[in-house]
Amino acid sequence: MTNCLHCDQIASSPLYIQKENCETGPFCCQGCVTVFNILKNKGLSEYYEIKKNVAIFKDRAPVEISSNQYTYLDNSDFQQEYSYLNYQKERTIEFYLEGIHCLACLWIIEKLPTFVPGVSSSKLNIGRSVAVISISDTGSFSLVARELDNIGYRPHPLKINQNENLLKIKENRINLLRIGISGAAAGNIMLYAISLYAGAGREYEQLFNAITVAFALPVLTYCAYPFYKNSYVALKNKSLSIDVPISIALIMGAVMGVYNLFIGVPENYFDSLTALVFLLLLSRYFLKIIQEKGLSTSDLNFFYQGESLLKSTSEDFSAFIEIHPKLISVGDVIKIVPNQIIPADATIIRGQSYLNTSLLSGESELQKVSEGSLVYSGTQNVSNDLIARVTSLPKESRLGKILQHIENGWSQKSKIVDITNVVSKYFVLVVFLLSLFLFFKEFQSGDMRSAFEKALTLLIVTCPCALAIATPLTFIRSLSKSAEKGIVIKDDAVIENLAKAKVIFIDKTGTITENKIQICDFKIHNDPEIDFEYIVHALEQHSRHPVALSLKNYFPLTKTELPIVQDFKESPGVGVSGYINQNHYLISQYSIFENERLVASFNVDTKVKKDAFDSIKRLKKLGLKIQILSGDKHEKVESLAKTLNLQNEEFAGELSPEMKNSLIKSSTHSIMIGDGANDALALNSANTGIAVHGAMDISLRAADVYLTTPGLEHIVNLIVMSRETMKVIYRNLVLSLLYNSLSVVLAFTGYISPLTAAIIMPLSSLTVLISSLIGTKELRSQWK
Amino acid sequence: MEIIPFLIPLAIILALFFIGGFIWMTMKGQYDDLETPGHRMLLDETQINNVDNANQTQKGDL
Amino acid sequence: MSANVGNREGKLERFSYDDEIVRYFVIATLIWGAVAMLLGVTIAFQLADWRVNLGLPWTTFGRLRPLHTNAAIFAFCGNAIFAGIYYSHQRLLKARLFNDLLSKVHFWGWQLIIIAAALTLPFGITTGKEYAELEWPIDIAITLIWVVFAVNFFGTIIRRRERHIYVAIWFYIATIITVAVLHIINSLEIPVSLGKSYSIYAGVQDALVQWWYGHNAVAFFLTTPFLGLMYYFVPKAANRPVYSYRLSIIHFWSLVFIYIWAGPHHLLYTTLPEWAQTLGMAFSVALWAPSWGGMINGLLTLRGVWDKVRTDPVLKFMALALTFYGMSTFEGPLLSIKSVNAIAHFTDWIPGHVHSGTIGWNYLIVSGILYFLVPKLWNSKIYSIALANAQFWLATIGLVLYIISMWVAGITQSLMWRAIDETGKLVYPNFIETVVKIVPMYWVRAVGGTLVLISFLIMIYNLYKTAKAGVPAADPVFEAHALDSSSEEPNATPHRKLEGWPMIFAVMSLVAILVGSAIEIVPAVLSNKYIVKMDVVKPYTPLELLGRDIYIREGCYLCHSQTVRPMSHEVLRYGKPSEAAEFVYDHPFQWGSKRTGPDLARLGAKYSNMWHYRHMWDPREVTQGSIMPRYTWLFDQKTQYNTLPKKMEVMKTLGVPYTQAEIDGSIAHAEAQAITIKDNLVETGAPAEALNKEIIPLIAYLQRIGVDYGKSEATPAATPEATPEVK
Repeated sequence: MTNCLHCDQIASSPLYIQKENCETGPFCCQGCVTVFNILKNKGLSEYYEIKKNVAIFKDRAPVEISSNQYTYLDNSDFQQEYSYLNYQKERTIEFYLEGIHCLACLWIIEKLPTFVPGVSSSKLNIGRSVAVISISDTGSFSLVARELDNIGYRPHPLKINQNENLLKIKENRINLLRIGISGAAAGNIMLYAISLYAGAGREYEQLFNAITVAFALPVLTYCAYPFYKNSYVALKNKSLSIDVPISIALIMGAVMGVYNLFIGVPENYFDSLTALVFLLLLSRYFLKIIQEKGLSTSDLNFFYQGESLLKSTSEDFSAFIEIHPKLISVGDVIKIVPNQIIPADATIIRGQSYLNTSLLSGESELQKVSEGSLVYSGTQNVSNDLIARVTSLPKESRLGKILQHIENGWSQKSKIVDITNVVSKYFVLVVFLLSLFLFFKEFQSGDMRSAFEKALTLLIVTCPCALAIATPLTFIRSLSKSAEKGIVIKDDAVIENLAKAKVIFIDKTGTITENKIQICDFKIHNDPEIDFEYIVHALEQHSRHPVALSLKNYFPLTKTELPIVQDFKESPGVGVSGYINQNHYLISQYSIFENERLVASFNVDTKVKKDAFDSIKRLKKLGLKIQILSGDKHEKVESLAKTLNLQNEEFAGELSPEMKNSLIKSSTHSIMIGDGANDALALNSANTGIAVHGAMDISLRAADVYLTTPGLEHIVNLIVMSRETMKVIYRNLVLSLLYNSLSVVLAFTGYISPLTAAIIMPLSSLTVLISSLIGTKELRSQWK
Repeated sequence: MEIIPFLIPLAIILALFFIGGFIWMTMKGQYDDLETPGHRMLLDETQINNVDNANQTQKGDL
Repeated sequence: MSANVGNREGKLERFSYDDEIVRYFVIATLIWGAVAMLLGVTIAFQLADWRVNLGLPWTTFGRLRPLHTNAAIFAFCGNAIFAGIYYSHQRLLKARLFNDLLSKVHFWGWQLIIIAAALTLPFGITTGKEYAELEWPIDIAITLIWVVFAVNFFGTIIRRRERHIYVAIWFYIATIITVAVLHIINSLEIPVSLGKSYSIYAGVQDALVQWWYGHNAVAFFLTTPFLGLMYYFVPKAANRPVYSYRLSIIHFWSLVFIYIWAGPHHLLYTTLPEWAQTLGMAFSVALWAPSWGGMINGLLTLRGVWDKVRTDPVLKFMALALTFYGMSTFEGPLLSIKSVNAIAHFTDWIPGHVHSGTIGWNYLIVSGILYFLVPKLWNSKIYSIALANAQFWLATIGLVLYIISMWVAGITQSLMWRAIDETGKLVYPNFIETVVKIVPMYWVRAVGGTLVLISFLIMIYNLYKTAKAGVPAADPVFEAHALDSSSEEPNATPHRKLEGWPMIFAVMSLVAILVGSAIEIVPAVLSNKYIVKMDVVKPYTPLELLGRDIYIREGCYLCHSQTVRPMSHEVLRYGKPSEAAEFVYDHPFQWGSKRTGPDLARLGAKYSNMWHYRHMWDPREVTQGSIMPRYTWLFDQKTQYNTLPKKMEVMKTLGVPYTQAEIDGSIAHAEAQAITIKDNLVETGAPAEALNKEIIPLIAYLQRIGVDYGKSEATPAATPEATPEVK
C-alpha cells in the first residue's frame, strides 16, 4: 500500500500519469494529479524533493478542489470586517488553510509571493495552520485564494479585527516579559541569598541587601501586577479569589523588606517572594498553553458557514456575483448550484431539481421541487441549478431557530468545578482570618518580626493553588488528549455527565450501519464482455445520487481518461442513459441494460459497521442499558437487532424526531449517539449527545461530543476515559486538601520559614500537575 | 575578599545586558510563534544556478 | 524562478554566501586538531615514562602541556567554531557575511595568534595562569581579532533577510559577548618586558578571577557555541525540526544565566571564603538542569530517523556527542559537590572529566559537523563510510580507555592520600608510593589518547579524499525578500538601517563600560584597603622573585599544587592548612589544579639545599621511581639579575611593599643571597661554578614557600579581620 506522492494519504487505488516514457505517481485521487500538474508548470516541483525525507506532522484529508471562485473576498464590505492593514499599509488577511501537513507545505506557502502576482508577503504559522498574507495595491485576494485552492490548500478567511489580534499578541508578549524578568530577578536574588546563608560576613550584608532590594522591587511591582489586578477585581465585587492572599503576602513582604533595609536588619523575604511570583506566573502560563492547545483543535466554527453564495444582479437572472452568506438580505435572488446546502429559506422561481432533506426530516428519499415550492435552509440541492428568492434570513430560517435553541443550552459549567471554586473561596477567607489571629497572638507574646514572619508563612503556604488548578487541569488534560485522538469534546461538563451515564440511545442509520449505501450481490446476466468500470464512471460522472456514488465505489476508477457519452439523459426516478461508442446503456435503480438487454442486476443495502458488535457487548459489560432508535421500517430494525443479539425491548423502529425526543426526555443520565439532523433534537435533549463521524453539520452543533474518526469503539473508550478522569479528579482533590490542612498546621506551629513555604507551595501545585499528567493505568493505556 | 566589589558590578552589568536582550527579543516579537522557526530553518533559499542564466526555467521541466 | 511566472512583487534581492572563508577555517581546524592531539599524546607518554621528555627545555611536560591545552581549545575548537558559525550564520539569516575583508582578517589574524602561541609557550614565555598562559602582546591580539569577529557577526545580523533570530544565533551572541568579557578581565596584567608580565590580581583574588575565567572558558568557548552549532546542524542533518523550539529557548536563557557563576567550584576547600565556595557549588549543581535540557532536546530531534543514525556517519557522531555531553555535564555538577570534590580535587579524575567533555562532546560534534560540511563545501560525496566508521569506533574506544583509566587513577590517589591507620598516622606517608601505583594507568591513558589521535588522522585522510573528489562550484546565487517588506509586527520601525544601529550601539557601549570599569575599579581594589594582611608574611626577596619566575616558566604548577586543604590527612602530610594572607604577594597565584607531584605549600626549609640541587639534576637520585623530568638546563643557564629592578618596580605598582631602596639594591642583595646558598651547596659537595646558574634562585624560592606563616606559631586569629577559622 503506497502513499500518494502529493498528499501522503494511503493511495488505495493508485493513479499514475504516463508521460512519454516515465510514469510519475502514485496518486490517491484526481485532485492530487491536478495539483501535481499545476505545481509542475509553475516551476515549483522542488516541492516534491523537499517532501522526500521529511517528517509528516499532521495527517490530512485527500485533496478536493472546489470550483469556488472566492470573488467575495474582493468586495469592500467583506474586507472591512475580515482584513486589516499591516504596518507597511498593505492590506492583510489571515487564512486558516486546510491540509497543512509537512515542511513542503511551509515552503510552498511562503513561496507564494514568487508565483502569485500582487502578493507582497506570506508568512505561515505551522502550529495553527494560519497564513498571514498581505497584498500590494495591484494584488487581489480572490486570485490568491484561488491559487491556494488549486494547489490543494483550501483557505478560510479568519475574522481578525486588528486591535483584538494586536491586543492578544501584545498580552502574550507582556506575559513572557513578566516571567523572564521575575525569573532573572529571582535567580539573581538567590545568588545573594545563598551567599548570605553561607555566612558572607558582615561587610557584605549591606551591599548584598541593597542589590536584593534593587532586583526585587521591579518584580513585586511590575511582574506581580496580574495578581494585584485579579484580587482588586475580586474584592470590588465582594468575592475572594485565590490571588488575594498572595497579593497580601507580596505587599507585606515588600514593605517589611524595605523597612528592614533602612533599619539595617539583614532579614528580608525577597528571595521567597520573587521565587513565588516567578513560579506562579510560570504555572499559569503553561496552564493557558495547555488550555489553548486543548480547545483550539476543536475550532468548530470553520466548518459550518457555507463559504460563498451567488446573488443575481440582473433582472433576467443571467448575471451573478459571489457574496458571503452573511451579507444576503430578504428579497435577494440567489442561484443554488448542485450539491450546495441551501443557506436560507426561499421560494423557487425557476428550475426544478431534487432535494435531499435527510438533514431535517431524516428520510433518505429525495424530495422533488419545482417553481413556486418553498425550500428550507439546511436541505441539499442534489441534481440541477435552481433560482430562488430569499424569504427569510439564515438566522430566522427554520434551521436557524433550531440552532439558536440548541446553542443557548450549550456550555453549562460542570458542577464539580463550581464546588471546588466555592470551597477554595471559603478556604481563603478562613486562612485570612487565621493569619490575622496568628499575627496578633504572636504580636502579644513574641516580637513583631517573628509575628510577621509566621503570618507571612501562613499566607504563602496555605494558598489553595493546588485546589484551584486541580480540577480544571485534569479536565483539560483529558480534553486535549481526546482531541488529539479525534474525539472533540465541547467542555468539561460533558466528561462529568458521561461518567454518570446509565442508559445509551443509539440511532441506527449512519451510527451502527454505514450511511453510504453498499452494492451487494451484483449479478452479471448473459455474460456480455463489458468493462463495467468504464460504463459506470462515464455515465455517473456528474451525478451525486446515492446509487451512483455506491456504484462508483464498487468499481474503483483506475484509469484517468474516460470515454465521451453522446446524448446523455438523466431522468429522475428512472436513471441515467446514453450512447458510448455506438451502443446504448441505461443504469436504473437496480439493473444495467445494454441496448435494452439486461446485463447486470444488483440491490442496495446498508452494511453493519464492523466494530458495532463487540462495541455493543463492551457497553453492556460497562453496565449501560442499550436502546436502538431508528426512523426505518420495523422489520429492518428487528433483523439488525437479531444480528447484535439484542432483546426486543432494546430497539424501536419508525420513530419520528419528536417521538425520539420524548423517549429520551423520559429517561435520566442518558447518552444519545446519532448522525442525521433528525437526531439534532434528540442529541440536544439527552444529557450527552455524541455526533458520529460523517454526521451532518447540524448534529455537529447540537452534540456535545463530535467523533472525527469513524468507529463505535471510540464511544466505549470515551465512557471509560470519563470515568477514569473523574477518579483522577477526586484523587487530586484529596491530595490538595491534605496538603492545605497539613500546611496550615505546620505554619501555625511556626515549623516552616517563608522560604520553605515559597518552595513547598508551588511543589503542591506541581504534585497535582504531575498526578493529572500521569492519570490512571487505564487512561495511560488509552493514551498510547 | 577584595575582588568582590569589582566582580559584582561586572556581573550586574552582564545580567542587565542579557535581561535587556531578553526584553528586546520579546517586544520585537521574536517569541510570538515558537513552532515555525524550528521548521523554517530546514528550508534553504531556492538556488539560481548562476547569475547569467538566471532567467531560463530553473530546473527545466521535470 | 522561471521567468514565465510573471513579475515578482516585493524587493527581491540577489546574494550569495561566502563559503570560501568556511573552507579556510575547516582546513585550519583539521591541521590544528592534529597538532593539538599529537601534543596531547606526547605529554601523556611523558607522564607514563619520564624519558619521553628528551631532557630538552622546549620538549618538557611543563612547557608542552600549556601548548596542548591552548592548541586544543583555541586552535582546534576555535577554528571549528568559526567554520560552523560562519556557515550556519549566513544561512539562518539568508545574508552574506558583513564584510569579506573582515572575514579574511579574522582568519589570518587567528592563525597568526596560534603560531605566536607555538613560538612562545615552548620557550617558557607564559603568564602562569592555566588556560590563559599566553603573554600580554598575544592577549591584545586576541582581543582585537575577537572585536573583528564581533563586528563581522553583528553586521550580518543587521543585514539579515529572515525576521526571526534562530536560537543558535543567540548562543553565538552569548559566546561572543561573554568570552570578550572573560578574556579582558582575566588578562589584566602589567608588562615587565615583551615576554613577561605580572597579573594585577594576587593570591585569593587571582584564584577567583582565574577560575571564574577558567570555568567559563570551558562554558562559553567549548559549550555554548557548540550547542548553537548543534541546534543548527543536527536538525539539518536529520532533516527534522528540533524536538521543541520552546525548550531550546528556555535552555538558552537558563544556561547563560547559571553558567557565569559556577567558577568557584574549582576552589572548594581552598582559602576562598566559605560562602563563595557554597555559592559556586549551588550554582554548579543547578547547571545540571539546563545542560540536560539541551541534550534531551538534541537527542529527541533524532526521533524518527534512528535508522539513519545507524548508517549516516554525520548523525552517528552527533548522537554520540550529545550522549557524552550529557555524561560530562552530569559528572561536572556531581564533582562540584563539596564532599565529592574533597575526594576528586587535585586527582586524575579531573582530567578524566575534562576529556569526557572535550573529546566526547567537542571532538565528536566537530567530526559530525565536518562530515556534513566538507561534502557540501567541495560539492562531492563522503569518500568512504567505512573509514568514517573506523574513526568512530577508534575514537570511542580511545576515549573510554582514557576516562576509565583516569577514574581508576583518581580514586586510587585519593584513597591512598587520605588513608590513616588506627594510630592516627598516614598509611602511605611517602607521596611516591601513590605515583608508582598509578603509572600503569598513565600507560592506558596514553594508549587511549593514541587511538583518538589515529582516528583524527583517519578523518583528515577521509575528508582530504572527499574534498579532492569534488570541484568547488562558484558561490551559488540565491534570492530572498528584503526584510522590511515581510515583517509583520505592527511596531517594527520601517527602515532596517535605523533598527540596526541600536544593536551596534548596545554592543559597543557594553564593551566600553567593561573596559572603563576595569580600569577605574581596579585601582580601588589595589589600594589594599580591604586586603587581609598578616604581618608575619613578608614579600619575596629579589633572588626568590627570580626563582619564582623560573618556577612559573617551567610550569611546575601543572604538576604541583601550593595549597594545603583543611583536612586531617593533608595536615598530617604537608603541615598547617594554607591561609589567605599567605598568598597576598603572589602575582600570579600558583595554587595549581593537579597533584601529579606532592603539594609544595609547606616546602620551605623542609629539605636541604643539596637535596633540591640533586633532585632537580635527576629526581630519581633522590626519590626512587619518580616520574619527574630532569631540569639539567637550570645548571648551565645564567641567572638574569639585570631584569630585577624592572620586575620589582612593577610589583611595587601592584601593591607589593618594596621600598625604593630595596629596588635599587635588588641586584646586590640577590647576588649576596646567591653566594650564601652557593657556599652551603659547596660545603655539601656541589661544584663552585654553580654560583650564577638558575638553579640557585630556584632553590632560594623553593626554600621560601610557605615558610613565613608555616614556621611561625602565629594563629590566624591574630590578624585584625576575622578570617574563617580552621575547621
